[in-house]
Amino acid sequence: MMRPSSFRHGQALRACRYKEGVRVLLVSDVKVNDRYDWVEAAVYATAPSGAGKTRVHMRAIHSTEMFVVDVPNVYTPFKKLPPKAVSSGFWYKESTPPPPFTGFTSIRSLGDLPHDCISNIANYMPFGTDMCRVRLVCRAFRAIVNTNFLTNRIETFISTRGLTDVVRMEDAADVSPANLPKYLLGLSWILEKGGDWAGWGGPLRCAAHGGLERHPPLRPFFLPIKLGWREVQKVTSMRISLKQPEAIRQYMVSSGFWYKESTPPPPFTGFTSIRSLGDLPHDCISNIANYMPFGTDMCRVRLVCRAFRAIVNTNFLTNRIETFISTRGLTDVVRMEDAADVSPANLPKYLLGLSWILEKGGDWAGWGGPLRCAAHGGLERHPPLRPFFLPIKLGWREVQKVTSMRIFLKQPETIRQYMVFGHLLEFAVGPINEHGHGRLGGQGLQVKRSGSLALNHPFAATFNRKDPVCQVGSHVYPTFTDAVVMGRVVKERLGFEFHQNQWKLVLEVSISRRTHGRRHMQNPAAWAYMTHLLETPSTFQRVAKDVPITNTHTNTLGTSTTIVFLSCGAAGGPFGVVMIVQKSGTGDAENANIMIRTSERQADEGFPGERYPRTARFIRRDDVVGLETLRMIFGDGVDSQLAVRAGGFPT
Amino acid sequence: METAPMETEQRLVKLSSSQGDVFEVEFGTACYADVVKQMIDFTSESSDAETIPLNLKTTVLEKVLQYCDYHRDNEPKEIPKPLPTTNLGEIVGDWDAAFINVDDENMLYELILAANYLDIKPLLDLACAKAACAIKHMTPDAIREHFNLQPEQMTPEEEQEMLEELKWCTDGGAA
Repeated sequence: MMRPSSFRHGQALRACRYKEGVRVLLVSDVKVNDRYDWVEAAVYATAPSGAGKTRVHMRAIHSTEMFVVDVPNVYTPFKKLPPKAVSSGFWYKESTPPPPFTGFTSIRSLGDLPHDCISNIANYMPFGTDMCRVRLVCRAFRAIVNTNFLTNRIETFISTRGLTDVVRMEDAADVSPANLPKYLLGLSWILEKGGDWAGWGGPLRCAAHGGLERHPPLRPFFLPIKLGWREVQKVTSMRISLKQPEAIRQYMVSSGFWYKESTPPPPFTGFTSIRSLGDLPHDCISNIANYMPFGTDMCRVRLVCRAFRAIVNTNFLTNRIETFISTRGLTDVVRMEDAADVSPANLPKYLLGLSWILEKGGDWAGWGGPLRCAAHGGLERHPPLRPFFLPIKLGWREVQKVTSMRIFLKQPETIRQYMVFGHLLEFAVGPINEHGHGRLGGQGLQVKRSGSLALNHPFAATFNRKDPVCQVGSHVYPTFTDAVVMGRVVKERLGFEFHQNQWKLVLEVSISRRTHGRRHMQNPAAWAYMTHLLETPSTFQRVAKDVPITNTHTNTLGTSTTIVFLSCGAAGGPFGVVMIVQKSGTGDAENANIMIRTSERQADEGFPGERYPRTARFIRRDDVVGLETLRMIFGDGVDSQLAVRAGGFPT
Repeated sequence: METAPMETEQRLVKLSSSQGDVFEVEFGTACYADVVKQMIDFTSESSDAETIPLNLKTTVLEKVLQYCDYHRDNEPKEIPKPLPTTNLGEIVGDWDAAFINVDDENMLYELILAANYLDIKPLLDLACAKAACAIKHMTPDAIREHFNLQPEQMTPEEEQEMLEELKWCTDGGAA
């Protein structure tokens, strides 16, 4: 057996390469049995030894032998190695035979992986049952995920969220050794599952500054809060904790948790080959689930496959619903009810049902514009009649409105969608029967079929079976959305006759085919423009793209009204601007009235431009109406009427 | 010395399956898989002729290379989530639909795993979409049989919950 002192360092490297934990090969400086001995050692300490050197302390792997070698801080490699090059502290032996290379041992289990790989895996794993299970079955994993690992991870978690002055973990020395791993695992789990704790930074700093007291007994409250074993014990149930909203979940910790490692894990039987859907990696199952539309098939797979059920859980469903809403640009229009407001028994049913309704409901984006208009126009909610605000919250009650999938799917898309949330508005709709008859807000509703319209019907050319032509009472509307929002809401609630105080007149003109009086003007260009507006089909959804929208409805007496929503709050600013065109009469007696009204707050007396400067600026924009068109309709006097006082209001 | 781009494109790469069968493919085809590309980058420093071992069965590797070879010049279509129809041909095109139309479910799993392992996202998406398509109008028992799922031991509460869900979908609505 060679003595430790007979070993010299085998790798002539600079001192900076020797860090704690680095492994090096040492070779003996004399031969035994005609060969050199090699020893693998790990560096466990380094210290400057003077004269430009560092003293490296090493311990042999798999034995207790210690080696101390002084290595130079700066090393100039040999340009050409002599047969026996000697540097201070190193032997270079060209003739030293290397140990026979036996190849890397094959990796047969997780525990065979190099330690840094296991550490990397552990870093990717969220805390919780899985980590506890792997710790239980794998010694190497347990050695890596030790108290130091957990402490570092907790401290990193706190520091990356900028909460070092708000939250701190209790000193490990204050926790009994028996509870230490449980405490650290529990605290890590609570922190990571607790969500985004950063939101508590401000409130707790304010509370501490404002003299909040601690309980019990009432003592001054200082930051940082120390999260210790007592806090971990407060979590008595992981399941219940995870069901809480994030902020409540976090606040619960400040009054304690019990971390249970839950049921003992099943014995690790090694990796099995893929034989069924459930054996696939979770991200692959998740990918498959993402491609599946919601409905019976998804419920059936959830029923028969536990792995699938674990993936398609409430989080998955919530995410998918939120993605559905956001990708259609409806986040300000529709929102799902907070899951916490739904009873736990109904939660999966609610989420599955809502997902199904949303996906089978068709293209909901068409409701964006109309509902924004309706909300801006003073629509009321039922019951009782309350102001209607966006976004609409779709909850368990709305899911229950769909009493039959078969009937739901038979409705035209917009009616299908309105059936879900219509009861929140003043005018609910019932299912349409096979003859196209139904009820909208207490009035008879008839949905036209494309074949039932005469070829010269004003809406025949723009018929859309997803949003069909409807007749409510004596009025015919080009689409169902028009019937709801324009016919029922704008006409009756927004009204223009009844809400004159809200919608102020900015510009008005009367035109006719013939001159009938002083206020009337004969203007072929304006008449043509007005006719164009009356013939323009409804395109509500365009409001989301910041362009004017139009609607036409006509009644059986031949009176037509077009309301052009130039702005409904979302696009042009926090006020609405509408252009209203009303035409009546026939033949030479035809006349029309064109108005521009605004809900902008009146600023001052004077010209409209001075009273409603933002509206004036808005309608003068070429992409809205444009000064040229305004002159054509309202005459050249519009220049002075829409003049905005300099420096009055921002655009 | 740097290799000219054209020369690199025409270079052949040897890939071997776990069963020892060696495939000689063009550089562009092999590099369609990110993992293989990284391996080539790594091994090309030492030797040009080195065979890259892949932990895939011969049949699976052959299928994967077939996909890579076709799509190196034909960018695959993005598959919408969720699938608007179960007719994959309408979404991904005839070639992809025919390619993924494998008789053996195990081959589909192997392809999913291979795409996951080799980091070929379009192939992974295609295979997952195919699996999603397969689950259409099947009874629970048919799903079990098709996907080789063993009957599970459920608690009565779990079973009741699942049946409630299924009832919602099959009986028509929440009422």
